[in-house]
Parts: sequence; structure tokens; C-alpha cells
Amino acid sequence: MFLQQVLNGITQGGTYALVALGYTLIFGVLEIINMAHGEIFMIGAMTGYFFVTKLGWGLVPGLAAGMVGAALAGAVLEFTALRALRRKGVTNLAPLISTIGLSLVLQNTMVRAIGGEPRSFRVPLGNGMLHFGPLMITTAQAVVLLISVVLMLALQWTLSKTKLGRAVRAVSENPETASLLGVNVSGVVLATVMLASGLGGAAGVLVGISYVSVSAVMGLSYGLKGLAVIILGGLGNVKGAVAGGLLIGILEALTVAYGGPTGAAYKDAVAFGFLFLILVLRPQGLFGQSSAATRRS
Amino acid sequence: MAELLNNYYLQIFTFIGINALLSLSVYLVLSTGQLTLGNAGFLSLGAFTTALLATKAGWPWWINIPLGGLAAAVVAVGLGFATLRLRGIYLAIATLGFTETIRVLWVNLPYTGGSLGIRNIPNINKLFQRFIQTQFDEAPLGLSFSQLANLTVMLGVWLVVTLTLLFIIRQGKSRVGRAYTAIRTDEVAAGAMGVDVVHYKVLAFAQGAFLAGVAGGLTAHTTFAIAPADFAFNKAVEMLTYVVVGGSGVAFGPVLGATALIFMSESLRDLRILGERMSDYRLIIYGVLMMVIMVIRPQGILTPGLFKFRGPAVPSDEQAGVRKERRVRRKGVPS
Amino acid sequence: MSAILEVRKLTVRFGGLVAVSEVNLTVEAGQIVGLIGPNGAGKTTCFNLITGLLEPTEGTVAFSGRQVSRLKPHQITALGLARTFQNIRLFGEMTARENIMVGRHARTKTGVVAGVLGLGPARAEERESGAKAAELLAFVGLADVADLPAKGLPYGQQRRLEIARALATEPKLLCLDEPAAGMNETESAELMDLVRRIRDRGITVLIIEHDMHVVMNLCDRVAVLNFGKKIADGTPAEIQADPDVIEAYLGRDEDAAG
Repeated sequence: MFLQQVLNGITQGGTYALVALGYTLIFGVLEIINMAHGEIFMIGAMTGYFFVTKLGWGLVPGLAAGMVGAALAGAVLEFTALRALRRKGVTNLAPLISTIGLSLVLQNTMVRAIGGEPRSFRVPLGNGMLHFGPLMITTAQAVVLLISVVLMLALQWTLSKTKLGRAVRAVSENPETASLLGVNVSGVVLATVMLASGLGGAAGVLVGISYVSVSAVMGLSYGLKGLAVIILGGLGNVKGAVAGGLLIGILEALTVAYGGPTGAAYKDAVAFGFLFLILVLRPQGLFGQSSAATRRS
Repeated sequence: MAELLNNYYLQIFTFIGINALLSLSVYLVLSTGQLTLGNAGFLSLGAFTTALLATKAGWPWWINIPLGGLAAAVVAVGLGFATLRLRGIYLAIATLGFTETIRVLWVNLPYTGGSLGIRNIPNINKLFQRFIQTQFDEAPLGLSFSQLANLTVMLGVWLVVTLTLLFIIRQGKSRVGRAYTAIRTDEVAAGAMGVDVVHYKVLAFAQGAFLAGVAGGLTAHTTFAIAPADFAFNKAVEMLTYVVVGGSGVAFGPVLGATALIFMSESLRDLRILGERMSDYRLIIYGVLMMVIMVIRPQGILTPGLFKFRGPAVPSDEQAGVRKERRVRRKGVPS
Repeated sequence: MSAILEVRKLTVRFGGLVAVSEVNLTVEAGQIVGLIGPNGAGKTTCFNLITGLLEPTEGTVAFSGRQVSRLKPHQITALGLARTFQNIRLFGEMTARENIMVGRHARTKTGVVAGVLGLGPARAEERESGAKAAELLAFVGLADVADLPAKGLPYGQQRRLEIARALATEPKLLCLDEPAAGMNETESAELMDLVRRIRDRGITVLIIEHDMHVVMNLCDRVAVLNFGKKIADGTPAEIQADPDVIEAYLGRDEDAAG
């Protein structure tokens, strides 16, 4: 029934939101879309998978391992693809292409190393169901949702209450001014990239738990959906990313539930279809700022 | 001679030609400052239209392929108007969304064959081959029948590429080309100078879509089957890579990019280094190449400065500024 | 004399901010009219409203008797209203000549097919555009830099190029936005001479300027804006003596220098 679907949607949407937050944070400080973010997500999932299934770690340590693995990959991203380009001052196209290149490298290296087929990712959570009145949620879903919320709150707290968070917001607004005020911009950028990647990695582990599987090619679909979410939510807008992610999750769940076989088939097109509709009506996305007053071309 | 014109090379060159056409389609839209990832979607529109006309209606290739282009152009007008107010990355992602959505559509619509796509499309290589065999006992030039057929198709495709290049270069030098460049440089100023920005942006979009659609039709008729997965995000990225690596500022750039990259990936197919088959690393090498080129030469290999031709240009600000200042000083103009 | 531009109660609001408020302005054909005011008074915003870049919240703009406030910029240009920009918006990678030829766009009509095939009328039109561009280059004194990229030209030449480009649209009214900004005395004098020569060609000029020397010596009439409202309108001598104008620029501090 309706609320149940909304709940399912929110659970799924939470992971979308985490992925989108990664994109949005990097866009905020660097003004580029990191097209390799989907692969960072995948690396996080793979790292978590490795520690949990091969080394027998528990859920939370495994999640942490995944986040660290992704954050390290993010550091690699910053030093190879992004930093070298900032010095040259090129147009926005170059970092885009460069991160696409990196995503090709990451995805295919992983496929070469361990193969592209899905692997079973079983986490010791049991098969329980929790009941909240008429609503049901599996233990796995509940854990995923809980962790997503915790991470988002932690991010919000970091951004608004810590020194690093303030520095990140300052650099997002104006790197030059921030630097003049004594902020170590390069350091903040690196920290932001690693933070964003960590969130993506967390999303990867959580998705792996939700679907009980991970694969070297899982980054593509989530990467694309994440893009749709941030455009919807407005580039660089943290709250927009969360709202957009949840909205897409809910829309997908409703499409599958009420759309019959057509609905299930078109589920993946929902994110972009909806995005399209919104962009036609509101070019800045649902929550973005419009660029000036009524401008006509 | 006959060895050089073996079927393998001929087919590769045909494939390169079709991709040169695709990368030119991206270039054309880019010349108005619109970064589009939607041409993979138009490619699929052309391919499926052509394939459906060929398999379901039995129409001949020389009607199907142009119609594929036309179908793409018509849809492009709609998409172009819808995305008019979008800029930069917003436009890129919206057009990517179009490509993705169309892919899902092909998988789910009736009559388009689901995720397997459409098969048994009449292949023009085979068509020509049969025709030649009815005309001659022995193929001229010492070639086999299939070689001659493949040669004809390859030359035909490259004829289309050449005509497209000529079209783009000549348009670039004309009033329309100036409008495109003006829009790319500064939409507001262009409008203030009397250029109907909406008209030209949509026009460029439709022109690019037509080319991509024709490329799609050619794809359909030079292979036996097409599937939605062939025309997804990866394809959109590939096309953009050809333009960016080959040179985003001159019309020859995308052609060079397609040729060089496809050639490279094919030569890697059988190459072994340290016992490892390089073709498995092909995509990794692509990726590294893209990253390296963006650092050492972001405008791509070919740039307007290398040529006498001056088509629409997308150089990096820095490069353009530095080059021009040197020229000004040489002419003795005080700065 | 007929009014070539009639602006009535022109108003534009951005959210809560009123940038231009009930401005009335009349420009008679053949005049050089100045639009002055302190920074942020709304002068460029008025230009943007008149030339179609912004849609007014209220009020009307009539050009040669025709309502233009709902038209798009390129349509207004086609009607004969052209402008330059406060922070020079040339097409940097194109040459000076090519920049001016873009200005010819509204007065030419070669399409894709004719242009690509190089048909007779297309070639003739291209030659004509080239000739007009050459004439304008000479008119503003840029003939020897015709084939240099606009980006590399010195500042003063870029300003003149932008004017030439606007002239290429064959305007009846030319709106100049701070054309003398950043110019020294010699350059300003040359600019004033250029504007007078433009007026002698039968083109009406509406000019935003901060340089009082230019405004007082060039303009037949001057309108003064402050905080989005028009506070004075008259001859240079009249507005120079107007207490509201003096207050707007200098405040009511008795210590302020005259």
C-alpha cells in the first residue's frame, strides 16, 4: 500500500542521497562534476565486501573499511585527475573528460582484476522483519536506512559545526577569498574529495547489503542516477541532494508498485524522465538558484 | 594491393568512418557552445528507425538511412526547445538523460526486440556483393567479390564523411557559422547583435542529430543486428572523447580522433606485452589517454593554430590569449 | 521632431528589490541624450529593459512608435535599436572584421543551404557585408587591425570595435553603456568626436556615462537616475544646477568639494 511503498522508496532513496551528496560536495568546492564518483562508490562496496566476506569483519567495521577505501581512492582521484588540471586553468570540459577517463580506468582495472560478475554479499543481519503498525521493513532495510540517516546527520553537523566544515563552505563560496583569510584551500579540497568519496563508498556498501550483491560494474547505474539527483536538487546544494535522492527513491518505488509490468521495466528511466520534466519547467532544478531575474535569450 | 584491401581492414575503416560521422555530429553541436551527450540517443533513433523500416516494411537502404537521420532531426527539434534554457553541465546531463531514457524505451517497446534488439537487418555489404556477382564472372582489380563490395561500402561511407566535413567547414565560414561562433562565445552579445539565438541553437542541435541518425542508419545496415546497449552512456562518452582528443577546435579534429583511437584500440587487439593481451586493457588505456591529453593538450591534437583553416574554435582561454598577444606585438601595434 | 524612444513608468522588481521605478524617458530623434547617476542607480538595468534583455515588471517601452517590451533582443535590434555593453562583450576569438560582420546578421539573410553552396546571392551578400565592415572599420579608425583577433586588441580599440559592431546593425538609435570608461583625456576626446560623427550620420544616441566632461560637452539633454528613479531631466546646464542631482552625487555634507 501507499505508505509502505513510500517507506521502501525512502530506504532506497537514502542511498541515492548519499551518492548525490558525494557529487554535490565536490561540485561545491571544485565546480566540476566528478564522473568517476560511480566507480568510487563501487570501490567502497568492493572494499567492504572484501573485509566482510573474506576477512570476516562485522557490519560496522566493514562499512568503515569501505568508506576508508573509497576515501583513499578519492585521494588518488584528487592527485591524478583533478589537481594537475587546476594549475592550468582550463575550461570546465577538461576535468569532466579527465574524470570520465579515470572512471574508465577504475572500472576496467577492477573488472580485469576480479571479473565483472556479481558476487554475493551476505552480511550477518538475519532475515528478520520489523513492524511499525501496518508498515513492514526488513532488518537489512532498517539498518541501511539508519546508517544513511546517521551519515547524513554527521555530514550536516560537520559542515555547520566544525572548523573543517566552515572551511569547506568558505571554499565553496569563494576559494580566493577563503585563501586570503588563511584557509589552506588545497588541503580543504583534498579533505572534501575524501569526505565525498567516503560517503559514496558508504552508499556502495549499503547498496551491496540491500541487494545482497556487489559487482565491478555496479558504479555505472548508480553514478548516472546520482547525476540525475544532483541536477534535480541543484548543483552544490546539500539539502537539495538529500531531498532529490529521497524523491527519486520514492518515485521509483511507486512506479514499480503501481505501474504493473511496464512500471517495473521503466523503473530506471524514472529518474531521468522526472529530471527532464523538471528541467523543462525549471532549468535550475527543484532547489537550485535561478541565475538572474527573468532573462530572455 | 588485394592484401591491403582485405575485408578486415575494410570493415574497420567503414566502422571508423561511421564514428567519424558521429564525432562530427557532436562537434557541430559543440560549435554553438552546447555540450550534448544526446547524440548517442539520436544514433539509436536513426539505427532503430532504419532497422524497423528495413525489417518490418522491407524498404531499401537508400530510403531508410536518410529517414533515420530525418527521424532523429525531428525529435532533436523537440529536445532542443525543451533544453533551451539549460547551460553547460545541466545541458550535458539532461541530454545524457535523453540517451538513457531512449535506451530504456527501446528495451521495453513492442516491436523493437527488447534488450536483444533487432536482428537480420539487410546488410549492404552483402547486397552489393550479390549484385556484383550477377554482373561479373570475376571481380575486377583482382579482388574477391566480398572485397569489392566492402570497398564500395567503405568508400561510400567516407564519401558521406567528406561531404559532411565540407559542409561543416563551409558553413563555418558563412553567415550561419559566424552566428554559431558568436553564440558559443557570448549568447547575450550575439542576441544583442541581431542573432536569433534560439533558432540557431535548435538548428545546430537538429543538424547534429541528423548526422548521428544517418550514422545510426549506416550502423544498422552494415551490421546484422543492433541492440539498445550499443547506444548507451558508453557510446556517448566515446563520441565525446573522439572530439576532445582529436581536437575540439577544428572540423578535422573529431575525424582524426575517431580514426586514431579506433585504430589504436584495434591494433591493441592482438598485441601482447609481457604475455598479457593488450586488448583487455584497451579501455584502461583509453582512460589514461584521456587524462593525459587533458593535462598536456586540452584542446586536443589538432588546433586551429596548426591550420590555415579557421573553423569554429573552442581553445582554452589561456592558449588563445597567449597566442594572439604574440601576434599583436609582432605587428607593431602598441598594447 | 518625433520621439524615437518613449519610456513610460518603466519598472522592474527582482524579488523584493525595485531596481528601476516608474522611469519616464523621451528621446527625440537626432539628439545625443545622456543617462547619468551614481553607481547602482539602475542605468544599465534601464538599458537591459529597453533592449529586451530584461522583461519589465510594469511600464512600456516604445521605439519608433512600436511597443517593444515583449520582444526578444534580436527582434529589437532588427527594428533599429543597438547597444554596446558596460564590460565590453566582444567575440574574442573572432577578428575585428568578423565581429563587425556578426553585427550585419540582422540585415542579411543567407541561410544554411545558400551559404554552404556558395550561391550567387549568398556570395554577393558576403561581399557586401565585408564592404560594410571595411567601411565601419575605417569610420572608427581600426582599419589596420581589421584581421587581428578582438581579444588581443588594446582596451581603447576594443571599445571602438564594439561601437563599430553595433553600428553594423544599421541602428536608428544607438545605446552606449559607459563607452569612455577607463579612457584618458585624449581617448575621451576622440570618443566624443566619434559620437558626434555618429549623430551626423542620422543616428540618435543614448549614452550612459560617468565622465562628466563627456556628458556635459556631448549631450543635448541629460536624464539623471538615483536609486532606480529619475530625479532630473534637462539640458546639461540645468541638471548641473539641480539641487537633487547635486545631493545624489555629493550628499548633503557641507564639506563636500564642488
